[in-house]
Amino acid sequence: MTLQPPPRTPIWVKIFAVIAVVILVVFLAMVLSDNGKHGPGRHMPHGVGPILSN
Amino acid sequence: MRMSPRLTRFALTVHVVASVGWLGAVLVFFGLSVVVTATPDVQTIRGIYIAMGAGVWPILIPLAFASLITGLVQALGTRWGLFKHYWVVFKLFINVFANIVLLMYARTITFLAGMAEEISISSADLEVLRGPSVLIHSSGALALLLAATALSVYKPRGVTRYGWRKQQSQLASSGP
Repeated sequence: MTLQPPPRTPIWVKIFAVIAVVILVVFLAMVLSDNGKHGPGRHMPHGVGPILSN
Repeated sequence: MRMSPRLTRFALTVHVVASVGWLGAVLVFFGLSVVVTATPDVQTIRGIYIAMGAGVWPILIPLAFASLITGLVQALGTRWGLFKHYWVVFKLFINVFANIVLLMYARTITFLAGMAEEISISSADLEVLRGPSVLIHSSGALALLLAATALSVYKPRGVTRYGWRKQQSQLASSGP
C-alpha cells in the first residue's frame, strides 16, 4: 500500500496562527511590562497600590 | 479511549451548555461595560461594577472552566482527538488563553467592585471605574469566544502532522 504525502497546511490555519502569535506577543508584552503583576495595579492611577478588598 | 455514542451525546450537551453559558455571560459583561463607559450616572456605574463583582467568581469562572474541561473530554473521548485537527487545536488555544486572562482579570473586577461599594468615591477612583479596561477585556473575550463558536460549527478542514500520521497508521493496519 502506498502512503500518501503529508497534506499541505491550509491557508486558514496560517492566518489563525499569525493572529494567535500576535495575541500572545501582545499579552506577554503587557504582562512583562508590568513585571508579571498584571492585575488590579495596572488599572490604577500611578501611586495607588493594588489593594484587594475581599 | 472512545466514549459510547450515548455518553458522547451527553458530554457534547454539557460542553455546549457550558460554552454557550460562558458566551452569554461574556455578552452580559460586554453590555454592562458599554454602559459603564457611556453613562454619566455615577450610581449606575457603581451598581454595574457591584453586579460584575458578584457574577465573576460564581458564574463566569465556573462556566469557563466547565467549557475547558468538557471540551477536553469531548476531544479525547471522540474520533476528533486533541491534536489531530487544526480546528480543535485552535479551540484549545482560545479556551486556555481566555481562561488564563479571565482568572487574571477577575482580580481586577473584584477590586473595582470593592471600590464601587465604598461610601465615598473620589474623582480619581471614578475615572478608573469609567476607564476602558473592562470594555477592552470583555470585547476581546467576546471575539475569542465567537471565533471558537465558529470553529465548532464550521469545523474547517485541516489535519495536523500528528493527525495525518495517525490516519496513515490506521490505513496501514486496516489494509488488505
